[in-house]
Amino acid sequence: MAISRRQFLARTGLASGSLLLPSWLANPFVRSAWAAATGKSVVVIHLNGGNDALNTVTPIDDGAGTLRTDYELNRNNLRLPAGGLLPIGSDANTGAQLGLNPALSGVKALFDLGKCAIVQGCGYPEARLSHDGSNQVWRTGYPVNSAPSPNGWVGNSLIELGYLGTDIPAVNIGANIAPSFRQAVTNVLAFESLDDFGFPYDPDHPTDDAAKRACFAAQCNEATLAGQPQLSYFGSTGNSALLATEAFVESYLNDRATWASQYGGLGSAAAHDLREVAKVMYGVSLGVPGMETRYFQVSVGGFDTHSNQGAGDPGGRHYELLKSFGDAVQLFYDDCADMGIVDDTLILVWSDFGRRVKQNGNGTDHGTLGPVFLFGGSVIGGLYGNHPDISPAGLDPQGNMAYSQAPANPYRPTDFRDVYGTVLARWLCLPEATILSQILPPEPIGFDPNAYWVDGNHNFNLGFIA
Amino acid sequence: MGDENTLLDASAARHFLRRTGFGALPEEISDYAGLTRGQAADLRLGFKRSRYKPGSGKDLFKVQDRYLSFLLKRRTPGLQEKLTLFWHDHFSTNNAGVGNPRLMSLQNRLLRNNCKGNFRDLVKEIGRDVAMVEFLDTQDNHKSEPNENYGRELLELFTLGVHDFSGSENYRQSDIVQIARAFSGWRYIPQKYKLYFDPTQHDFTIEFPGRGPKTIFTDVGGWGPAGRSFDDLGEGEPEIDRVVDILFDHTDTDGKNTVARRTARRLLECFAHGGYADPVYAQPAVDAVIAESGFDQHFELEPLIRAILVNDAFYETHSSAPHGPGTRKSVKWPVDFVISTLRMLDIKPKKQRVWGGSFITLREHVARIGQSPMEPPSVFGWDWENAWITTGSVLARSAFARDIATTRVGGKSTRLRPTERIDPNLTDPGAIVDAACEVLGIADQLISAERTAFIDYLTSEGGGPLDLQDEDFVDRKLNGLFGLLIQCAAYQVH
Repeated sequence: MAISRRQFLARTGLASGSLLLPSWLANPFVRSAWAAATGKSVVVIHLNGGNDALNTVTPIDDGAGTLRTDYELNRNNLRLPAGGLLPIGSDANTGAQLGLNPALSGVKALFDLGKCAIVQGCGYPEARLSHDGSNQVWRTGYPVNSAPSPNGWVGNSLIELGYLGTDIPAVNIGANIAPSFRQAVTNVLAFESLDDFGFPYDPDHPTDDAAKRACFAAQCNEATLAGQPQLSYFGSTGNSALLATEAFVESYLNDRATWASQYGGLGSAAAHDLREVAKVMYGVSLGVPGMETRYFQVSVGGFDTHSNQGAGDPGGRHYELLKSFGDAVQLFYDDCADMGIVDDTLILVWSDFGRRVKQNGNGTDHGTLGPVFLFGGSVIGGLYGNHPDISPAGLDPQGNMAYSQAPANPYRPTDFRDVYGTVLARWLCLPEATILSQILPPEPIGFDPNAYWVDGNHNFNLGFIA
Repeated sequence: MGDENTLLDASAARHFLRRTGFGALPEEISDYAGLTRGQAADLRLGFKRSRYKPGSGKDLFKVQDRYLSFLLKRRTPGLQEKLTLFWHDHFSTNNAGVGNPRLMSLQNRLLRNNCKGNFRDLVKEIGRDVAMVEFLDTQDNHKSEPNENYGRELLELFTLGVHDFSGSENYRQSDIVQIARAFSGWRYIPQKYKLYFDPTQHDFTIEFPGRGPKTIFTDVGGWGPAGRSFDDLGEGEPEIDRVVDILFDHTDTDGKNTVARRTARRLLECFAHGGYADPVYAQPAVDAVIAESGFDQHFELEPLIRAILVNDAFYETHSSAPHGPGTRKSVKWPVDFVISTLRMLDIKPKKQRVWGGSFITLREHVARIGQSPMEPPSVFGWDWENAWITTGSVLARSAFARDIATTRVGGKSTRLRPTERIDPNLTDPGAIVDAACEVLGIADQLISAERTAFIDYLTSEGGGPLDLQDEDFVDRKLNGLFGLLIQCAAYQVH
């Protein structure tokens, strides 16, 4: 555990919000007028560990540059043969043909439908090479400035969208609340499976349930009011949990007949988690009382492929990781279409960082730039941004892809804040000024505009949302 | 304010015992009450070095089951196990990455055996631990492209940390690259689990002159532009221990020993409270316990731990209700929550299982509450304090409480037997709530409104005296009361 993260947590205070209800009997699920009006959802998927960008979106040829030649120079036993890549068009800068890892047939199908946008080469200045450090940047939206609070970028967005302590706008699938969602104003639920999500009463004495409920809620409320940080946090989380078990049970009852075979058939953790998201989204789409959740977080682990990464053949480590992700996303997309909510759903996929351009013995070490994927019925599919420069002269002193904002740089990377900003401005319709002041502030005045994302460098209309 | 001669009363003894072990039993409290802080620390630290390991099989679940059973055993030293769990978090390694429970078990023995020994030796040992070698890819560290995984975590997580107490960086990426060279060529033979050095896979300077000299910390660590060389005792095999020696000589921008300060700070964070995550808050106590123990001179853990256990910092969370915004408390780790509850209630799981409610094993309970031993989420270990508390984990803690309160099958020892623990002649609901709180060690932790909520629960079926001789009432309400107390906020902290 790194000091920085531990400090981060210690200063968090209330991660899932302070549910300071004057009475726990008050209706906790006041609809957010804004969310009800637009009904848009965001599903954030974290490829945890640092996905190898170069073996995800891979040059097929050199075009007018040297991408494939440079790729083959740096990747020997991890090299993906050009013939097996799934073509997705050419890089605007170099003209090189690009292809997806053969494991990503699910992503390729959505790309061909025009519903998958791939923003190449996303990163930030002063790259941090530790998981902890880089994740903190991607989660808070603060690469250079120090963040004024431990809030996550989604968390800050929830505040700006006007959610309150009486709402439950977000669900994280997993044991913990994702740091991207952290804030102290509204509630984020965390659970691994909705069917484990009931309050545990004594099965032999159901007549005692009401008395137990009253006691648990009352002591949670008292603990919350006392104000001691840990007791108060436990109290508010306990109240949220109790209330949510009562609101969310309906959607589980509505678990659709096809899900067990479809998601279960894939058998991956990614499929399991996206099925849990689908359950909640289905409940919301049916208008189950008390369900207004629009923001979801799923983490797919295992991408820290320092060793035994494998190339493009089934059974290889990276191949299987990408396949379980891609197949699950395709199924989830189709499921959303079937539920009639795909046009209101946006899926955003990020990772800690890309990996080192030059492989080590049979894996790759930590790197910098990588692609962000976006999926959804309203996404304008296609390739965005530039493929990073991987020529020897283009790399930074550590051998990683370099970040710059110089307009003259033909390989100019995309700052990840432009991707987030496009989602916030174009999809969630937050004003640019609010985004820049409250969620994704540019580097302070005085920073070199060629090297940093200063005021004026931002572009919150990358084009993947109309 | 106190010191090592401060006497422990029963309440302080309870605090001491539960923070250095798993719950405090009445007989343990009477053993420690009346001792001084120093005597208590010496007694608690007096356990012999143990070579116990939780099995040697291929089944992870069995290893986890055995480990949890071992924690429940009466003769297992509580502080030894708290420390072993702390080091498991510190040198976080998971079976998902190692893929061999036997190696996890061996690492668990290594941590237990060295839990209060010399920290520098422990860091050297962990670099040779086969589970770690597999987990952080030393096995795949080839001279052609040295693998940085172990070198990075050795600096960031095991010894220096990214930043010192003033916020300055303790090392550079180039230091990681160099240190990765030192660990190239270390291998183990599968099935034999013995580490050996393969010089043909080691990065020797003569073969890779372009990588420069094996020198680190040229602008941090207090050595100036010359830095420190880790091949000065010879290239090859000696390099990895030399790297560790240099790390332990590293001084921060205040001129203090970096490893000593970070290690003391983390121990305080674990044994006192999360406030010690903040270096500004932590610094006075950190520097005091280092000065008292001389830890920065010899890196012996036992004197450092003793210095912590007699320091006021360790007693900061010892307080009675009402608790306000400034009161310091620490959230019980999930393993602590489960093991201490079973110990205090003298419930013995049969076949590793709790026989009520969800009928799941202890291993499954601790995993659902958020701490599966041998399977920490990543090399960063578990997130502590409020991060233990999520909607999911609150419900999992509640489910554990419900399960032990509703066990109605299995032998007598698997069940909650509340009338063995409290006087069955009590009839006043307030007295019954107080007695149950005493059993669970939270008698002085509830505010009156919370106590009222539990009294209301007991009397929710009408007024009048309560009858603890009535089996049905005990099964429904007294067990129910214990379940609710174990679920309550006050019981989750210490």
